Amino acid sequence: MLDFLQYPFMQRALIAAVLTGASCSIIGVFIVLKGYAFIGAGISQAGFAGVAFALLMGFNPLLGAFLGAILLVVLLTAFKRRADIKEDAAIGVLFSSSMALGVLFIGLMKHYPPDLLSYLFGNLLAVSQQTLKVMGIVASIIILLLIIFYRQIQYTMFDSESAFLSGIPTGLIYFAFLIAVAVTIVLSLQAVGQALVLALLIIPGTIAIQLTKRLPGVLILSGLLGIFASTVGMILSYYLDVPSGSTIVLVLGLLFAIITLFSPSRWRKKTKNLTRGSAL
Amino acid sequence: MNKFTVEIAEAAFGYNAIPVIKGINLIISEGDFVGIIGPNGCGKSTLLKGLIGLLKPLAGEVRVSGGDLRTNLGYVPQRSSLDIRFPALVKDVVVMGLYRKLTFFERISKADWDIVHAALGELGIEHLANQRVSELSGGQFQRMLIARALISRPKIICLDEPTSNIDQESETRIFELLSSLGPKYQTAVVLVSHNSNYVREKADRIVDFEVLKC
Repeated sequence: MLDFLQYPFMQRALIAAVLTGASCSIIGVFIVLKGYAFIGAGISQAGFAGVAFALLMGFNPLLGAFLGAILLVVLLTAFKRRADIKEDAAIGVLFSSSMALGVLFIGLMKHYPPDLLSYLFGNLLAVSQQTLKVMGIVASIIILLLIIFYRQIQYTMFDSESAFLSGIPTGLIYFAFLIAVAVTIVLSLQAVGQALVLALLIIPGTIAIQLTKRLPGVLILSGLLGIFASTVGMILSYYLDVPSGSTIVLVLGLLFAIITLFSPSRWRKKTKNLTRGSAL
Repeated sequence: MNKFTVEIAEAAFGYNAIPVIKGINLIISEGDFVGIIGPNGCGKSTLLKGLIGLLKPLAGEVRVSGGDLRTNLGYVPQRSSLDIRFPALVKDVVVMGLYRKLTFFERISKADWDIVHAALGELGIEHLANQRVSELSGGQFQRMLIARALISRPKIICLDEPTSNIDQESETRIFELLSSLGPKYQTAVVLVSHNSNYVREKADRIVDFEVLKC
């Protein structure tokens, strides 16, 4: 069954699937907890606009994606600080502007470069050795930072006001979190594509939160689910000869449906029972 | 040693440089019970946030004597500002109150967990230590937050609407608990509440935004 691993490009694709699955699903837990799915969508859209700009101007698309995503994070943070507007309104403006820019850059191209589609819908087989190294380094850094600053991140995510009063630089943690989301999305664009990366960010964390009680367990389970779905999706896509990005997302969607519909709903039942009573 | 005191002098607080409240004067010392009451949207929570340093004064100043404010502060935020589905146990939330005392690489020790269990015991919820936060009732959730605020033995504890959206029986029990905090822990209690009857009955001093004509 694993005969496909004899090909170097398939070995690279498998490693890329594991790295993408792990990094997206771990950072995605915080996106789910904070309700930042729209921010994830905005960052991936800005990353894709950056890819289109880079292809138009003739430089590295990954660099373009990175610049686009970071620009969105910087603008979002600046809007939040300087204006009395809600975060989702600010991200809505940036999301649609990024989409408009992407369409504009594509329209200015004389012909559609084949790379463009792989960034839109993902192509694990197209991930280069160099990109793989960067993905490995970035995923390691994110996991290491998460372990080192776990207490500060956990407190900020649960109760940012009290965390700030405890001396935790919550503004810096928020900004660093957005940068980590941006870098993770950019490095996942080639593997799963702009249109599908959001699913890899959201679904594993949503499943893990239903099944585990504490944040460390949620992070580990989410990471494992991301790796599992990415690996299974990639293998299925090879044997069925279908696109890898969409297969990975469909595996995740199926997992989500099975677990949500058929898991023992003890948490939900307990919550209902306890909130009904006034037991102090 | 000087008594721990927070003094607000002719202060204005607000958002985006626009004052919501102004000309505020208030002195709070250890053992005081200060109530902040008034209609919704008048600036009760804004005053509390200014008092504890979440908002910088747009005018006037906040002076603290007898110690640093942050190391002597216990804060209970509004329940609605927190994610009640957060994947954490009750003891995980209460131990957060000790984070400020831990050095960067210091791990949570067994002694710290003993302190957590003792704090939960004092609040009558030790049996909930391993309960998931999302499984708590409104009253239990507030007791958990009060345990977290008290765990570092603060000299001032500030509570922002601790009885909003909970049933009357739980509210009565929370108020009984709050009345005992000052004498038991030698701490000042600053309470923002919509329940003006309780505050008028129990508080030493009241900031009434109805009177201030917000």
